[in-house]
Amino acid sequence: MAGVEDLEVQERGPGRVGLGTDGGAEPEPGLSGALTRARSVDEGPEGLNCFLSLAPDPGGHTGETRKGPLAGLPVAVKDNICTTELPTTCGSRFLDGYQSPFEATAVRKLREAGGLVVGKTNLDEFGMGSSTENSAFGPTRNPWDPSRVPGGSSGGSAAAVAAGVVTCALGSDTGGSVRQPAAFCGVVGVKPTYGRVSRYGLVAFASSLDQIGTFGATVRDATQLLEVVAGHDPRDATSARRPVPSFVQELDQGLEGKVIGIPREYLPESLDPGVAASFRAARARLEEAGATIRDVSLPHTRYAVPTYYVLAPAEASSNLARFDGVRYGTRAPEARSTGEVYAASRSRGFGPEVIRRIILGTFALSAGYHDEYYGRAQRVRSLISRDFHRVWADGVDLLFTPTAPTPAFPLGERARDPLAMYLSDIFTVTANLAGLPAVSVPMDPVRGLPCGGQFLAPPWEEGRMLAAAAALERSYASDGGRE
Amino acid sequence: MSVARDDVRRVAQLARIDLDEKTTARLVEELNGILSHVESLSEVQLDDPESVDGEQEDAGGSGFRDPELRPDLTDPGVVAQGAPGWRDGFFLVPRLPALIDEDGAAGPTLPEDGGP
Repeated sequence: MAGVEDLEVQERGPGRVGLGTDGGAEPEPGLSGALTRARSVDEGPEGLNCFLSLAPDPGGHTGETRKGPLAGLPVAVKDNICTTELPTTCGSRFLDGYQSPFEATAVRKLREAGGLVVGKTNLDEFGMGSSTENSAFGPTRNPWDPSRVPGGSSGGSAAAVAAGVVTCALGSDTGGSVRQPAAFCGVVGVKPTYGRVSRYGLVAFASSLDQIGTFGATVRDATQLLEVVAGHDPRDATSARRPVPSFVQELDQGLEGKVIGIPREYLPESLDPGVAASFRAARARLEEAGATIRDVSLPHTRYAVPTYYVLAPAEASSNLARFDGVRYGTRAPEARSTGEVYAASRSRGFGPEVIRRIILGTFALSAGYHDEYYGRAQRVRSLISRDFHRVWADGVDLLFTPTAPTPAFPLGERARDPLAMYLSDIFTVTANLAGLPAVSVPMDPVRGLPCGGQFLAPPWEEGRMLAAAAALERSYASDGGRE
Repeated sequence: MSVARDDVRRVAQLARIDLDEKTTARLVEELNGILSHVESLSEVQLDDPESVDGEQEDAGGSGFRDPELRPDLTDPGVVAQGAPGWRDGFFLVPRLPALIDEDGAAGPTLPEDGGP
């Protein structure tokens, strides 16, 4: 396989993969170059498997004639975001070859801004997973170490950016599915405020938690794409009627005078010592850059994962009821009655993790258990949200935490233990439960693997949050990169 | 709270999913592991009457759109594209069990081309 070994990630440091000026992984401009690179990194049995489908090759650079902030820029799109020119499979056998009759608003906007969709990226089936191993089309591998997972569920988008195929990509984040793979792959991943980006055309997993997010090789790349896709959309009743400021223009603000809270619940004793050391070093950099660091507490944090794993499956069990073998997707041919069509098609079309979550969610919503599980989890969700509001009210501008408790783990390590897999979301699910914006940005690597730090901000304060991420990025760049 | 095989079978029926015995047994084990983790929610004090759902941050005046007619996706040509079975503006499914003939013949078979 070509592509992985020439990245020289160890020498170049996280976040620089694909953007360096020393050759190697620097993306060629235009669609053709990106397509060539995509084929090269995905090729062979040990290939990264970032893409499930690729755009037709135009046979030359097409960027010259396009206008807009993304003019001629190749962009990768997660395969649960609908496109009319390429299939939308959601990483599921159920939708193998499915062609959407409509286009997601985020995709339309990125095209209108001059961007070019390179291809659709691999994901855990319907976004359910933290490693991209739950794809029906095989796992994606981590460009830094192909024996390890890229994180998930947007692992294909994260790996495509890290491998230098594209400088930015779209993903979706229901419990950390943009930020955790960004951390594992050494790139930047933004989950905006709930309602900031239209969900029209994003295949629903858990509607109160889902949000389209962006990846970038740098904070600026991810920010530019966010600025393009953000904004009110009449086709999504939960998209906010708020103006979208120029986040890019705010990137140089710096950290002088900013109060950054470090929640103690995000630094448990069980935290990987390498991640803890990387985080301490990043904290020191934030202070050097002029921020005031304050230790804070978010007391209901420990209930976030159990709350999430009641609410998200409950919503998923309802959303995925639409996959019935009647209107689109796979139908079991042997079914002799309508009831059999439903059950046989769903059992055959869905993979093990999706079935696990549908069963769990149906249980949490079933008569006799609804109040005990779903009702209680909804109320705890309010308390988790309230923890954040108290901290903001106390004068904290931003929170800073590790993105994930460990660096990328080996392929297969957690595949048989769903609870262990779920716990890799421990620092990311809170932003979804509270509807807050959050971003993962590379810190010092741990044992040669990327490691991410996460900023969280009050609702609609993406500008402040991304400026802090950019300041941290500048700090690493100013002394020659990360350790 | 723990679940047994019958609970998983009942829930699978509600969710319209067929499970074989091996998968049922695995799911019983996995669900019990997950539910024991979820048990921790029962220790949270919920006596504050205000701490109920519906407390999400206001989305900044998001709301309903004006009622106006616009093109939709019910164009039969578009819908038929993705449908496993489609004819004359209808989705095709096997006949309901109540309508199956006494000799056991199922309803109409799907057209070979699956579309109009």
